[in-house]
Amino acid sequence: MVGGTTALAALLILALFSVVPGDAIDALPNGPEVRAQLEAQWGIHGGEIGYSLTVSPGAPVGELCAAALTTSLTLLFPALFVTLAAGFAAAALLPPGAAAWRRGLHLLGNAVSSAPTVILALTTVLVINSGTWALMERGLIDRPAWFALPAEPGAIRAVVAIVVLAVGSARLSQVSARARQLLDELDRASFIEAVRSRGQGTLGTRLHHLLVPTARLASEQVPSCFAGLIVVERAFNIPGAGTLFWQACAGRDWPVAVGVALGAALLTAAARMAAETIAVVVDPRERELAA
Amino acid sequence: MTARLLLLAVVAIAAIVPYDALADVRPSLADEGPSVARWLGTDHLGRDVLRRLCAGGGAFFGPGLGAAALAAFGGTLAGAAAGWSGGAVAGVVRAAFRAIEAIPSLVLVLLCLMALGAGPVQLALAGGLAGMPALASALDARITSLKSAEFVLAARAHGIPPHRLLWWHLVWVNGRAIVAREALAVVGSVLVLEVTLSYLGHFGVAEPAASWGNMLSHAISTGCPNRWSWLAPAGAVLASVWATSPGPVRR
Repeated sequence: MVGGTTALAALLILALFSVVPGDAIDALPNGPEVRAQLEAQWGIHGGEIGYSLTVSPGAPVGELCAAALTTSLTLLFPALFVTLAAGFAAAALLPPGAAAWRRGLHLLGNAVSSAPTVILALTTVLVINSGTWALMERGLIDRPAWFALPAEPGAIRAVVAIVVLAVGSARLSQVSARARQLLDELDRASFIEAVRSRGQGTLGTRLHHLLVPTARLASEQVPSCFAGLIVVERAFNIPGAGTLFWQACAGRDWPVAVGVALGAALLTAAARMAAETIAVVVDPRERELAA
Repeated sequence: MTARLLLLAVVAIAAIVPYDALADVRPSLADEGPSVARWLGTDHLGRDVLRRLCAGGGAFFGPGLGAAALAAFGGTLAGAAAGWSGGAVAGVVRAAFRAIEAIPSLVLVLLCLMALGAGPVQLALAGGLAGMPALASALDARITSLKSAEFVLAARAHGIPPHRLLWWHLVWVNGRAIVAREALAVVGSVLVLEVTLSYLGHFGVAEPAASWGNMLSHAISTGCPNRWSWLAPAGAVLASVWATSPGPVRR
């Protein structure tokens, strides 16, 4: 199932790749001699995937994509964790009949989360820059090393990017709503009543039954999180797969663009496969269905 | 729902008001705050923020409607075919949409725009393609769940032709709310795409034409001396995203 999805996604991307008018090598500012030289050197005919054309000319696409995806995964996984943790915390803080201030907090969180990632990222950059500039103008602080987002990577920048990625484009509100639904279903479940009637704690049983839906919920967030990476990495000047993909699109570097897109599809398929594997391992009903 | 549609109607009407982006440039009035003459002030080139805000609605509204129509047409056909026929047809359709969903929407749209070139028609095509799987899956699930309902069995027993049963009783009577809700969500996703592309540059709406995305991008790059040049498009985007977000389906 997962392999088929990835193969179909790859076919779709390659179909798009094949309908592109002209050859990606034409994007290079050169004449026919340089074109012939590059074709001979890199073996490029009809835009085959192999080496970068404009982003990092001559570099193997596989190496470029692997390095960039590794950087992006250090944002993606923490962002998924933050989304799930904050979503379940928000759902747990809002049982039916919760105090008004809690409901207000929940509504505020939903309102912030419903903002597109691009708005959230730009607002964050604007607020941080304006606030720091105001403090610098009053002589309260010296110019911080991270001000105006220099090229050097920094922990603060990564943390802010992870939070924006975790919250933006309604990810947090969707996860929170789904978590509330799951907790309600568990509260009403007969097996929880049975555990309770035996005088035992229900936490272990609840966690056990939450594992599969939580894994599926996390895997569903991967594609939108990856799309968010393109914006967040550009807004915070982080050199990951999102930045690489954008540079490839702007520079018409087809091999790199296709490589990153295939990487994204593979990541989505792997996340689904991981969620289904957890389901089969943990839930005997799923095991029966799979068999 | 009425408030949401009213808001979208306001955006649509504002977007058709004529606007000459070049004639609106008045550098002597740059970065002015709100006044009686210009309710939201001016941007870094002295252009009226309110007029650009109105004109900017058109940058996503046309492509959004086009994408919604495409997604509704293709998604309804595919979803109805998969839900009604089942078997191999359903397997092929569902596998195709799973493959599209495996590619992040922004990545898919950027690949389409690279292949087709930038422009509103291309954005509508790419947005429609990206929005089709969700609509088709929702309709597929609805028709699959209703296929063995009693009223369907009764209609079959009365000799109602299958095409009338599918397109009238299942798709129109029982599925149109789902199609409308998902199509509205496609309009919202095209808005977010337009804003994102305009911020990223290259494939978005280029200056001097107005779009909420390039208004935001330029306000950020110039440091927002007039805060309304940033707040107004951001607020418009948020309100429109709310107006187009999928609500509960009324059956």
